Amino acid sequence: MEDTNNNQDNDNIDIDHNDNNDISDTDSNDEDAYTLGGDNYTVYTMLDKDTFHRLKQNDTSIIDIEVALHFIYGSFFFNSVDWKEDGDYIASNAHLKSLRITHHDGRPNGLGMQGRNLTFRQQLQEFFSCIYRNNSIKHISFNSIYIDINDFWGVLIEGLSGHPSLDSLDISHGKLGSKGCEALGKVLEHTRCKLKDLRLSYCQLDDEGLGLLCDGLVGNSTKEIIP
Amino acid sequence: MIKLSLQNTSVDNEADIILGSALRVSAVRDLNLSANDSISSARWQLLLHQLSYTSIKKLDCRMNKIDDAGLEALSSIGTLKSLDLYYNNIITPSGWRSFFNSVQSRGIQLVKLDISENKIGNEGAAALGSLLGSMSSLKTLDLTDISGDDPNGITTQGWQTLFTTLNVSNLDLADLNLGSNSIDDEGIQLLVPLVSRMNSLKRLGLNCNERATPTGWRALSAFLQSPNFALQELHLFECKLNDDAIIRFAELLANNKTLKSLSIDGCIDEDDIPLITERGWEALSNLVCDETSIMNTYNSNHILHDVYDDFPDELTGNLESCLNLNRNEDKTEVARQKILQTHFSDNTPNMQEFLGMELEMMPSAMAWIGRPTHANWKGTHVSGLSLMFNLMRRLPDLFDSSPRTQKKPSIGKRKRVILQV
Repeated sequence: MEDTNNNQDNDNIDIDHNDNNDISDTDSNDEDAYTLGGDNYTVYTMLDKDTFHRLKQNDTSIIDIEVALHFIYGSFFFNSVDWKEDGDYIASNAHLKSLRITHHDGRPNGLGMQGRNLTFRQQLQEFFSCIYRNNSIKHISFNSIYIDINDFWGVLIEGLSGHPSLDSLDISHGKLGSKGCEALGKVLEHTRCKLKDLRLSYCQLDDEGLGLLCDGLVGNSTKEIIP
Repeated sequence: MIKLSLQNTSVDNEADIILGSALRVSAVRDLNLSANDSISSARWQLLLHQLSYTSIKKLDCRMNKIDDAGLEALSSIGTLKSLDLYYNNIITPSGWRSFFNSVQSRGIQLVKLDISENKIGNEGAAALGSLLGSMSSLKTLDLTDISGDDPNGITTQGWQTLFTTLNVSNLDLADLNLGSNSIDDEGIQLLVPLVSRMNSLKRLGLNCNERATPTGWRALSAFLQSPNFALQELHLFECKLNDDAIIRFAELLANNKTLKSLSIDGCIDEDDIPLITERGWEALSNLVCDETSIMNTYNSNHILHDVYDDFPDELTGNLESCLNLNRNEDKTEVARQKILQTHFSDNTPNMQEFLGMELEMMPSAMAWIGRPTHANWKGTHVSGLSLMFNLMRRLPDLFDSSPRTQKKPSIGKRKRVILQV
């Protein structure tokens, strides 16, 4: 069963002669990201009230959302005042295919989340739980979210285990640590794992982290694939 | 897991053992290991040897410390289809020669190969020519900056030898990048029959080849006459292209329907004097909008839209504006806009064309004039309403809804001008 699946997937490997594999590929927050696709491809950089409403109404045109986390005056806030509502709308939309979490922060070193208070950490994790509750998302990107709270990534990634639709995950520049790598290994090993594309560029993996990840990779290759 | 990106992950010590053994049993087919310069050459050799037991199809190993031995290990990955080895500058020409020979002897059929910014030398170039001659599957080849002043770079003679070898091959690429090299006039002349034979070539990069003179670049015009010419992008920036070459190119592109980009930025001589002057710009301007008559405007090139990044206004006239119009997919509307903007602008409405038109053509002409505004239009878009207004003023009978009492105008004397709408 595994081989059959692999052979099928192999044929889908993109060896596009025009693709651009620049070393800066992982920093993909450029204008191109906003112009991809045709009429049915909609990107919102701000979750305004109209977007909330359309999300809530299961608007079929919203298939790709970029949620920008802002950092101003010492604390985070979501674009909407009620971040729980943001998450609920995202969770309940049945057409969403791609969710990209970015941050808007003027400082060169990114968010630097270390030391943020527990309340805020819980808020973030609760918001991210919308991903676990959505059954249509195929691609999630946390590219360049420099959150380095101890165990944050571990808890976040662990929740992705057995996600019913997720097939592409980008955590480039994430400080995963051994807990994050271990959680990622478990995600890969999960019997319902559908991940086909995993991006960990600039993740500073040490031998321990790489080993934990590779354990999952081995498990992923031997698991029985449930369609 | 099919695609795994571990670019610049700072892995080191045991990476070859940990990752290599996992990949041997994994389903990964697309692997990005670029910019992991913390892995030593010896470790790369071990890791790439492990990969020979996998079924990797796409491998990105840009900017690493792979040496000759590592490259030899890589050549044993028989399943490879796409290989990126950009800037692995520890590898010697001898290492490249061995690699190319090994790949050829193993019959590996790549679709994409990038060895840019390496020093393969004439020794490696000769082996590369032999390999490419046997690799009919190859569609993308990047040989950017493999000459340089380094003694291990390919010389002008090396390029001539490579092109001569390839001229008896069946190579049919879609994307060929030969930028930033030392290809001279003779090299260009040898390249022309090679690329002219290719049916699939969509993109050709020859930028920054400073050894070639205007004479050499003019010889490239023979390629533009090829019946197989399907090029969409031709990059010639920072080359010694002059007015004569540009004028010749413009002549040959008059009826071309494929070339969208002809990049010619930074064409200057040794004293930094621009080689393309008013003559060259005028030729390009006439190519995309021949203003001498409506039909000539209609028959201008509506495909080419990318020529220069920063136009000198005093030299280019309406060239930039017309190139912007050409960015639109609706070529019928592009032609209409060029005609409206050139021949029927508010200042110089050339009404005679309509006044002399056969009456039965008038409904079509009016429909052409009154077409609605295009959504998402790139560049200037003028409405035909001003022209319609002028037409109403000059031919009020056509728009008079009251019962006709006047005699119909004579049809036979009207000039026949057909605008294909």
